[in-house]
Amino acid sequence: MNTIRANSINEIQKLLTKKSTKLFLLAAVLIPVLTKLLVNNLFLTDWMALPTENINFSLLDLFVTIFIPLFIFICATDLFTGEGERETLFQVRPIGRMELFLSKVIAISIFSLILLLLEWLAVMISSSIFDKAFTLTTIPSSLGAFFVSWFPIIVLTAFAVMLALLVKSSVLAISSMIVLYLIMLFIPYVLPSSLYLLPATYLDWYRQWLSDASLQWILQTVTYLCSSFALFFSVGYYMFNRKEA
Amino acid sequence: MEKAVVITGMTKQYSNIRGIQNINLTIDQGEIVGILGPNGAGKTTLLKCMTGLTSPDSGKVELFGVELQSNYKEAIRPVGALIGPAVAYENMSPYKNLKMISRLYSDITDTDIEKVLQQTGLTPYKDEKISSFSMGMKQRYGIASALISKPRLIILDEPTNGLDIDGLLLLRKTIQEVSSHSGVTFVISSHHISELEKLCSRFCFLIQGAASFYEAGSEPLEDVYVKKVEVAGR
Repeated sequence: MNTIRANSINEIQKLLTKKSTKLFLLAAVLIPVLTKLLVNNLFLTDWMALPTENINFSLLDLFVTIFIPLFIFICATDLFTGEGERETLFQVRPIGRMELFLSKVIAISIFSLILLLLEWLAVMISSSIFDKAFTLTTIPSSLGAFFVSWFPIIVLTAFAVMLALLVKSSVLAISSMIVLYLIMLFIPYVLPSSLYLLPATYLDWYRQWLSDASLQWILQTVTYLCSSFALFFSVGYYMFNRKEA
Repeated sequence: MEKAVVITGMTKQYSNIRGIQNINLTIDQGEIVGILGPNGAGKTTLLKCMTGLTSPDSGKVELFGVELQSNYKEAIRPVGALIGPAVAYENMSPYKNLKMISRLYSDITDTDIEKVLQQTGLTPYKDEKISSFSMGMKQRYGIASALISKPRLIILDEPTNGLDIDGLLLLRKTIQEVSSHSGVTFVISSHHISELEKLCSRFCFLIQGAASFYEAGSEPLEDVYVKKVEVAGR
């Protein structure tokens, strides 16, 4: 357990030194603030017609469907395919393969949670400054929505890691992740029956939580997400464990 | 005398037919063993199998009596290694890289990091990014990363690659000091015969994937090597 914690810190430190990570952290703060500023102070009348909460959730949608998946793809490519290319993936250190694999997945997941929380904070602070209709009662529901959004993101992380281990080139890894993700987003328009079988569908599942989530729906969806995570994680680890330095 | 390394019947074959065949090797604690052989003879493969970076097709590796394949973490804890290019995160400084390594051990202090930077002559550059280092400086960092965990067995693959004369002398001095003061075992693979001759008490010749041994004696190592290669063929 100590080794997993120690190496998770190492992986987080590695990600923190990357310019792309800093850029995403900055975007998580700036995009909500600038959006609120534009909507409330620059008289964009079409947007002003939207209730405040809708804008907040549109921002969340933007993050969970575009920004955070892109961030995850970059991180998974860097920590797995990239390190494989640079021959830094495996070292002669007292850390097992499972611990190494798990700590990398944990580091990416923690960073995606940090991005979500930063975005939520930026949304709340900018709402309190710019939105005249802002009330404290919106805080629990919006925090809940941001927090539940993290779970399908963890599943997407396992998916990205699995893909990162399938190929040996970083360029191929990130491009295949983006293409497959786009296919997952658009295939339900062609094959509506596939909607509930694609992990990307559940990225905005917070909407269901906020409306009429029945116990049956929660159990079904949570079971599906857990099974998908287990599948992607197991296949990813199997490939990781077979790799040789 | 405790056995630092015991390799029994190790075979690793690649699809290009290269690799190592049925290697048996025992190294006592405190020995400095040189591994010699032509390019593609299997030196790096042997060292990778010894450290778990590559799985052998068959055979067993024991490090200080602990089997590597079944108990990797415990077996590898007393081992420091530099195999291939130095493993470093180049957008970080050597100090930060060593700090990351130290988190995986319970007994490495900041003083140990400073000491190993001093030993490898990296103290003036400890806060510079490794990406700005020359090949020799990166190699020095690689040696520092092998020494940081205060290992009882140090495995070095071509440690002299890219080193300048100062670096070479410093490496030799460090190996001799660490070996004599702490009784650390060294396994060093190199093409620099004269350097190995100065350091090692025993040599393992790897030619066409097979191993043969030679104790340091009166005959120049270069002559012994040439004879071995001529007999076995390249």
